Amino acid sequence: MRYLKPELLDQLAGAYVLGTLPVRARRRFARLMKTHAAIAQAVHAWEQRLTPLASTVPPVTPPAHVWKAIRARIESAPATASGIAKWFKDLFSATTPVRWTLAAQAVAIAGLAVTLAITQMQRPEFETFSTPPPAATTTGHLRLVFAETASEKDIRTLLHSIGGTIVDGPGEIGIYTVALSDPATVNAALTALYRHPHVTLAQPVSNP
Amino acid sequence: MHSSVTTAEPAIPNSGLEDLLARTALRDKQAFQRLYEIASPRLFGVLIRLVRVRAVAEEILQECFVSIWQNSGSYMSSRSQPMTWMTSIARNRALDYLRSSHHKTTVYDDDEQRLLEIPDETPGALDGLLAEAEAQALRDCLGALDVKMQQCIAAAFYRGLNHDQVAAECGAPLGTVKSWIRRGLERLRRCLDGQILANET
Repeated sequence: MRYLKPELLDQLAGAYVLGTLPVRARRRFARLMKTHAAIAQAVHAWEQRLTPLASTVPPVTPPAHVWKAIRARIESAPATASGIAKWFKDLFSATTPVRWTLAAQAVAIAGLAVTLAITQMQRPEFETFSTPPPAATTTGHLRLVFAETASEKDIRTLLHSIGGTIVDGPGEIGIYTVALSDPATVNAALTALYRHPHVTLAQPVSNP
Repeated sequence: MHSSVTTAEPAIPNSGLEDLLARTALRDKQAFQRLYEIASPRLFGVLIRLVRVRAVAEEILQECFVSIWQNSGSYMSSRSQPMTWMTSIARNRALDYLRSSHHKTTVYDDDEQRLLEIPDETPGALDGLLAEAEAQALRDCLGALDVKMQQCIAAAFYRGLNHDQVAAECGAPLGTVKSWIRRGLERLRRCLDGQILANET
């Protein structure tokens, strides 16, 4: 969260409410919303903005058995979970050993899905990546997000090629801070990173 | 199927729904049933449009109302209107479903799909349909967007399409569609926030 600028948070919240956040980003955003008031507030604001659109949809009276099923569930304790209910529970309970193993691997990759959205939102429509933004005020630190497809080995190789070392991260949305061994190489590193398929976000850091 | 489709419904009085939600929080089952009777057609309509399979929409509707029953105590009338709160619950459930692997294995029934009568989402389709007073600002601001932006946002909102699907529908490159949606939402926010400020002064 400390890396999430208000305007970026607002973009992600808008995409979450509209429904265009990629699936893993959506799940992560939903989890973060429960513990971060700023995210919940931004989502709430977008819900207020967009939900009135739903009033344009013609109402459809549901069949009677739906209410019967609801009534049966609220009157029974514990409630009987329907197929979809079980699916929802599965979706948000990531506690099985297999999932923890996958999670550990995912940490190594750490290209967390929100980052995809971040990159998509930050990159201009026809960006060529040939001209990195000016890095005159940087101190040899970069803010990096790796693609979901990047393996740990890919990341190590990439960091080695630019003389970078991870000094912080991943943040809660998968952003790493990387220190360059030679601060003067920031522009060259950024140029390489922008073109790299395993990088979804690369920015110079003014105040690491 | 024993459901019926209606074409218009007056805005639901928020004060009545707030009262029903408050009583639901106190475990008043009669109030909850009345809340269901009033709100479920709106939510079911939204869900059908999003998931496009009636049986799935019915299950998600069931989940929504169980959730509303369980969480009615956390509803805060100072933060949002009752229908906004309940619609957000429904849309989020539907979007989670659409983005799930479960959904990918769903076998769509063509006959059911044909029943759905999904209206087009051209800008003209938006005009005149926003019945509730609080939607006036949204209508104005949507109308001020470029046509392509309106279409992309509408396709994502009403049908739950992701970027790839919107791009395929619009026949536009993925990057272009992402840009339209991002810029469209930015403009929408600026416009809506400006209208709120104007109304407050």
